[in-house]
Amino acid sequence: MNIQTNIIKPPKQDIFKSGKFRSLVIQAIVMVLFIGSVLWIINNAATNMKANGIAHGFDFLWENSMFDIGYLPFIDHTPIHTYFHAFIVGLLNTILVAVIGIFFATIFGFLVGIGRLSDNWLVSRFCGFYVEFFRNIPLLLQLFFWYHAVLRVLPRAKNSLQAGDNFYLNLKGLFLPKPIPEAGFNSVLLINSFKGIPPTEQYLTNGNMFSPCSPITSV
Amino acid sequence: MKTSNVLKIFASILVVLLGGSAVADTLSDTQARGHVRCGVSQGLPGFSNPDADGNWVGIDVDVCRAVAAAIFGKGGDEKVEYFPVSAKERFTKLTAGEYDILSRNTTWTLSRDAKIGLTFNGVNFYDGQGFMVPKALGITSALELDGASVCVNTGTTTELNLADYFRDNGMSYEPVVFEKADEVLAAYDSGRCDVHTTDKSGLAAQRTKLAQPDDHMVLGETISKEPLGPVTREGDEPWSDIVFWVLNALITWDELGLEAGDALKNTVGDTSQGAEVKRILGVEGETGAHLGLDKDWAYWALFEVGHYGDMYERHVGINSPLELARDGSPNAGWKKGGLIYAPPIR
Repeated sequence: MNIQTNIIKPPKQDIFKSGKFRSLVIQAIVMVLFIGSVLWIINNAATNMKANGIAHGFDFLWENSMFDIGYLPFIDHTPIHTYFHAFIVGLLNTILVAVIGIFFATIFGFLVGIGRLSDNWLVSRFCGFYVEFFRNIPLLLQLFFWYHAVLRVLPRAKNSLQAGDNFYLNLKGLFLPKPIPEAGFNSVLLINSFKGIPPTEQYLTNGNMFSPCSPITSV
Repeated sequence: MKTSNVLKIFASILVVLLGGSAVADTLSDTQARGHVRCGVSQGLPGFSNPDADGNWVGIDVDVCRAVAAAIFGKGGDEKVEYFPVSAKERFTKLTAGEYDILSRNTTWTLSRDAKIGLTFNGVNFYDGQGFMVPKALGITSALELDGASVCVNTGTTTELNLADYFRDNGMSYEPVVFEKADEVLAAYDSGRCDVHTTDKSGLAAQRTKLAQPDDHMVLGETISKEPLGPVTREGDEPWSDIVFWVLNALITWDELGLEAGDALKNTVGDTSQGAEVKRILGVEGETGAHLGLDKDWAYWALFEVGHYGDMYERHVGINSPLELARDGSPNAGWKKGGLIYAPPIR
């Protein structure tokens, strides 16, 4: 028991001389200066824009967008919806594309990765070549290639590639029937909504259009 | 990106943001620079389009040329630097000061005028939106377009009118939007969409660019009013005045029915001409001084570019590739039942 009372306490430090305190103060000053200068810059820009008659700020997000969006897999968008709503639609479309992309890329990447480890010379070299070749080609360039070189050579709607009665592939995208489990559910209805056009160019009114082009153009 | 570039960008942002709201004097800046900076389209035949030699030509280009001639006098019409811009970025670059006149088939609307700091300076072409379809569709009216996919340029009034039209008529459509007019046309030509929509003059111009122009037709409906004209920044009234009055001097000369170009040399010495003619040519009056220009400002604009009718016939008229007849259209002079009308120059 006596031992504890005999512990030598370190001398009391002056708080203003502690290194920790000093660094905190310096960081606080830098932070205040930084935030202050950012606020000043924003205020200055806003004042100048106002002086030049330019609307600024984010109020426009709550105005009617007045435009339509082509690809709406989740929520509806009409011209009377706000810009913010259009922004949400764009986010959802982006997420959809990302999820689909991740799903297939995972499977594909896994297969290629396994293939690279293969004992078969041809398979491993081919997979290796694929990886090395595409690794440093910018994604944007690959997008251009797919959109302008690959998808453009797809047939026009009239000459769609057809598999079965309900699967169409053409320039506008891949048209699949959307399964709606209802009484008597067996096929998808075709409605003549576009006069004077051969049946293959009609729209599947119940069809869920998955277009590889739409996400690029509408997001 | 290198650090030095990051620093440069940061520094330039700081300069832009911190620079006080300096009093804009575009005319002095332009005179000091020695040329007019003019925002144009990325290639719209008849309006602003590079010709075979790479020179910009068109009715919108002529507005910039006329302004330059009014400022710089003889040969001044060549003192123009052109900035091709997309529909989406045209206003931002104008307000940011990248160029001083935006003469790019731009529609005059309330929100553009009042909300984003722009001044519209008269109208050099009255247009209206239409639809182009392949003849093979067998369609004769825009009201048959329910369910169609429509190629359209984003950031335009076209996109908004399209939404209005289909909504008002209870029809559905799939908009396929692109940022550049060329992309819209390429998508339509490849069959990505059933319909191409833009201003009718634009359709006439772009039809000539299609692989098989004769396989396509423009539908009769005109679904909007599109008064196109030169745009300047708000807050620099002297500069806006110059653009407005140069355009209207060209229109006035067309109303007077007089010849422009070389014929002006005789007109200017002709004492039998009326007071208005003498005033415009700078023989009498002080119209130039009020604009901060020389007294022969309108003379050189008319000499180098010609009057409004010359501009029209040269680039979009019945003998141009666009084949848009002027008589009977809104672009005829007001004395012939059109809308082209200039306030008095005095």
